[in-house]
Amino acid sequence: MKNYSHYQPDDFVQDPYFRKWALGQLPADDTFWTTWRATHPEQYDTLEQAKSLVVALRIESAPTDPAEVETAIAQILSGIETPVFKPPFFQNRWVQFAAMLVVVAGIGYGFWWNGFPSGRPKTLSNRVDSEQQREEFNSTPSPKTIRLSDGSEVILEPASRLLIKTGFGNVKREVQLTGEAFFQVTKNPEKPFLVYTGNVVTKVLGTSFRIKAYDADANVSVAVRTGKVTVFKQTAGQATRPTLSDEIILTPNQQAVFVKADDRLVKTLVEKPVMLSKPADNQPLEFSETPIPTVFSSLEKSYGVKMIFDPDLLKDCNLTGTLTNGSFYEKLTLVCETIQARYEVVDGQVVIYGRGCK
Amino acid sequence: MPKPNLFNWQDSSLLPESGQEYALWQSFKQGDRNAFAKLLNLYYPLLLNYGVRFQRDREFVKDCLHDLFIELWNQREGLDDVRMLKPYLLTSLRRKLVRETKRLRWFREADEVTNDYAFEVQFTIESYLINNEVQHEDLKRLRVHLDKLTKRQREAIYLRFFQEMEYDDIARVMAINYHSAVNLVYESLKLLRKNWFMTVVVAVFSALNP
Repeated sequence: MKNYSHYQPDDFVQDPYFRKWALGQLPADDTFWTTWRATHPEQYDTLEQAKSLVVALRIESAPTDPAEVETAIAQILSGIETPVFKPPFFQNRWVQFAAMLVVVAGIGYGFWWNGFPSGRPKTLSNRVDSEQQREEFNSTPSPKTIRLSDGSEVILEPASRLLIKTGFGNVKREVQLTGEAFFQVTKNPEKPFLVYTGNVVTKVLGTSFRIKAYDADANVSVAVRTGKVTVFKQTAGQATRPTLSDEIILTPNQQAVFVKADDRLVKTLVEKPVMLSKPADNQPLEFSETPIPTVFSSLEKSYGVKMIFDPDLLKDCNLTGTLTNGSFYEKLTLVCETIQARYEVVDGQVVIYGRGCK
Repeated sequence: MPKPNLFNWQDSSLLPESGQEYALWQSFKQGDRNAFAKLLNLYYPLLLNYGVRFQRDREFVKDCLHDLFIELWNQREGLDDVRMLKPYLLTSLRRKLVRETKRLRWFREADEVTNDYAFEVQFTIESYLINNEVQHEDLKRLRVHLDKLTKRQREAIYLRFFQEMEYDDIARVMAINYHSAVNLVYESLKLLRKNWFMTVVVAVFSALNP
């Protein structure tokens, strides 16, 4: 057995036997590492660090569709027909004729080259791409529901256009939107869902959100209903590796607005925040002599919107009443009027300014 | 720097022992179609998984794999006696991808194929932070650090930890020497094993792995 006593975290991370233990791949009766840990208390922290590193740095596998693999293998196998004997090719009369044709055609092709139709040259094999780029345009006066191959749903508003990119769902799920649409994306952490709208790219793993990106509008907006969404500006060519300064992470009821004129992304709240639908968080918003900090944190939970206030300052303020009906902003106004405070929406959060109560 | 351990990885349980693998390779070389089909079933998914990290255009990778296997079949009698198939096949695919990418760039419509190879990996911790309501400052910092990994470091880490390969095999696949392969992996680990990073990692995973 190896002497592990002087191992550093990096050495453990590299050790195959240790990795198997950290990833829970050892048989249950193999207690080597638990025993070792118990007998080397001075190495306990090192071992735990190494274990976390192994787990954290595990690379997510990109699952392949068994059907896709099967088809590909079948194609290869059908490409290796049993060879038949052929005489040397140049002895064939037809080959000689064909060779002449090639020369003639080559000359003609030289003239024709500039007008050659575009399309990726199939230099490797002549298989037909199964997934072509698909375009949906809603010319009707009412919203149109489009179902994508991964189970995601897009509700396309009138006069809006959705382009589903070639190879959608292979490695990434990429679409391009002009106009407005609501997206309900099926969760799949392996295949990020990307929506391209002019200079703005919205990246999600599985969530629902609305994008408004009409060519005529001055802004592009991305509003989140559920889950988490990353929005960033597209800089020439590189869409998938955003620089951090341009990236905004949105949580429910937040929205990102891209101001075209300033080339700037701003984070704010959606126009009409909705209550989160998680029943566990849906506490009744009924209060009687409830301290204001508690009221705010209930609102915070119900809408998933962060509220910033000074709890010490507001601890003597109370509220009695229900906040079940009305919009988010109406409720906010009501509470603020009660305690003589005002609110501002800053960076997708609500900031309360008040003087406190005596 | 501590000396890396050079013990053999226990081979992934999905793949046959190298003795059986050798026998399979011999049958294939003698023109056994079933052996060839078995090889394909064993290695195609793994090679595709590697290829698409290397070159984003999936159809392109599949085309390369198609041609690679056809070539192997056609030239089977002249092929070496290979004992370890995984590094052999990964090396062949990598060479082919590099060559075909260069060739495609020659044509006018080559924009679809990214010029330079990028090696894409996503670590569990990144997905975890994205999927859960973890403060995004941590996520940002993590990304800053992960972005610092060069594509070669990513590839080395992938081959070492995901494909569970030996350093000399990694060196062969990446066409570098043994010490460079070792260094690539150690440098990446050093880059990531910063104090703040450990804090995030331990905090996140102590919750998951009590």
